[in-house]
Amino acid sequence: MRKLNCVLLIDDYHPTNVLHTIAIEDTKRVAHTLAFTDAEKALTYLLNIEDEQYIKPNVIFLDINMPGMNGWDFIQEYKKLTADKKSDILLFMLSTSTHPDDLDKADKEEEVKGYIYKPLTTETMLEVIEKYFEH
Amino acid sequence: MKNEARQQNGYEKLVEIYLNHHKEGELLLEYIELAKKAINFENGFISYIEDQYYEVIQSSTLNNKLKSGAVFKTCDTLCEEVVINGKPIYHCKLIDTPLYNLPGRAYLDTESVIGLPLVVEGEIWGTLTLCSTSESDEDLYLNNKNFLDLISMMVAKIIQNHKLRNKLKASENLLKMGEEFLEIATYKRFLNNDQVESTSSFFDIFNIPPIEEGKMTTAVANMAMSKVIDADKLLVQERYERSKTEDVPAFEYRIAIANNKVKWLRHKLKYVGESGYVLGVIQDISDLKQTELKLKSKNEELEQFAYATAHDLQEPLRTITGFIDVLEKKTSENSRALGGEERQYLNFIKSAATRMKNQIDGLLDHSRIGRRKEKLSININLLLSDIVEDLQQKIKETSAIIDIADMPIIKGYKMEMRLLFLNLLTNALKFSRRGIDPHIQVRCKEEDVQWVFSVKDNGLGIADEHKERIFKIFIRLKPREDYEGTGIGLAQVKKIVDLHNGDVQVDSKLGSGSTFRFTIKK
Repeated sequence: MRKLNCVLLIDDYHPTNVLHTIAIEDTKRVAHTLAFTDAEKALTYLLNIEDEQYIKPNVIFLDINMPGMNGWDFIQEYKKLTADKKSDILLFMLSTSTHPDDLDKADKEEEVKGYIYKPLTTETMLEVIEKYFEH
Repeated sequence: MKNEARQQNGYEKLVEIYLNHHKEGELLLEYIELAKKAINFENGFISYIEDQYYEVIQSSTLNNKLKSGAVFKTCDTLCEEVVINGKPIYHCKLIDTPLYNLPGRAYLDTESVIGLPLVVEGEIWGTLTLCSTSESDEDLYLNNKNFLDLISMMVAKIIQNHKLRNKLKASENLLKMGEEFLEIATYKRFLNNDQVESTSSFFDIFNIPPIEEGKMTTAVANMAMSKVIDADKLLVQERYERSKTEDVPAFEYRIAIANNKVKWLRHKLKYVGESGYVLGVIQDISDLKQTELKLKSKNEELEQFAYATAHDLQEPLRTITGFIDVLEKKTSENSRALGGEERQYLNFIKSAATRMKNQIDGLLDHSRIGRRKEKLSININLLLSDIVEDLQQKIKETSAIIDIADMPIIKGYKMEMRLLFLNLLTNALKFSRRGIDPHIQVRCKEEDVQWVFSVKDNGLGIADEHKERIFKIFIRLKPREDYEGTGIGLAQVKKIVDLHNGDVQVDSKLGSGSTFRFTIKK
């Protein structure tokens, strides 16, 4: 059974990050779960691969509605990252929004692997691992 | 001139005057002159009688002494007797009579008088009075009596016409005022040649140059038609064609006016085929429409607000339920198990959160009603069998019988129609009487312009005082412990029926079931 090294959570609401962290840890198949409440800080983290704290995430879960830099803004910046900084990272939108516009937009973004409704559960996390990392 | 010849001449003159004068005032004056001449009197006048008064409406007197418009008390005039008896009077020598002292006599120095009643439909409307400042020859009067009677009859006819015309004019003015006030126009269109007769408001409404009243040509009708905006032309054409054979109920359309603006009109047509014309009423409803649009946009804003609020509440709520789950899981996995009381509290929190979730979901559904704007053909038979399938478990649990008659195919909003029936059937299953299996009947009746659906149950029934309230959002009649629910279902039903331009109501007696009836416009 494959184990993921790192999952990155970006959501402005801290309790949500905590809840999602618990769900991820409960799979017992992820070594590190990192959480940011500020999308800019998450971006800075991804840029500084030289940093000794840096662990490359296998998966990013990105909220859409956030103050300041929102999910879509983040994706515009993420696109500019060089290949070495984002290769092998799978990015998922994680949102409560059922708005068709959001779904369409996510569908059209090449960088976005999928759209997942909140809350992220242990089962969903396991599905993601099985679907994208088991082969 | 011989007497007979003179009279013959007089009759011809009478006709000639009538044919040559169209204005009533002139006509009356000519007749006074004719009467005066026949008997050689200097003064003559015509008056109306109104109550106790006597008003001169036309006169021909020496030095124009008595002008039209003069008003006297009837009892002061020489003609009081004429008014009372309705018969002509003649006095060749007034000085021998008690009338000599009347103020009316002195006014024109009258020595001799002839008073003739003006009779209209058996009623005395006025008098024709002829006065002489000298005594007169009785033979001359007697010889001309018939002629004078004829003149007074003609005069009576003329004043009758005059009065009728005034009356007509007054009601026309009233109509006109009413039309202006209500911003409506009425017209008559002849079926054989499309000629239109209308009041002047017609031109105001369509903003086209007025043509003399009652003489509108087909060209003007076409001009009015050309003002209709393209998008509504087909509709107006279709209604116009229909009006050639039947009444057309009110319809609304827009016409283009200056500055790229439009005016909203409501139009109704009445077919009067036996008389060969169509009657039309047009009302300018632009103000009403504007208010309606404002209201609609305000409503949408409110709905958007409700939607956004409900949507935003979902996320913190999910966090709450998420942590409840985590707490439950963690405390059951290890030794830190919760005590009975703590577990109960946690269950309370959980049930409150579930309720809130249902409420929010209901609210979201509610504000989504009518968002998809296209109407589709819906087979209600299929729709209902789908719903019954979904409710299967509930139906089994309650041993319910659901009896559905043959249903039509209608035009409507599919998701909403499903929600409507789902709500009514769920309610019918839920609010049953203890020990009595639910029996639900669904029926449909076709009417001219609408479908009438009914959902009848044998359940708890609804008290009269609640029959209005139940359709309001978040109103619940039953304790939550006994009957689970959000209080949104019937509000949704109402909203969906409104969306289909229908009506919903409930017939019910407490303790003996309810029948929900709703209409859907075809």
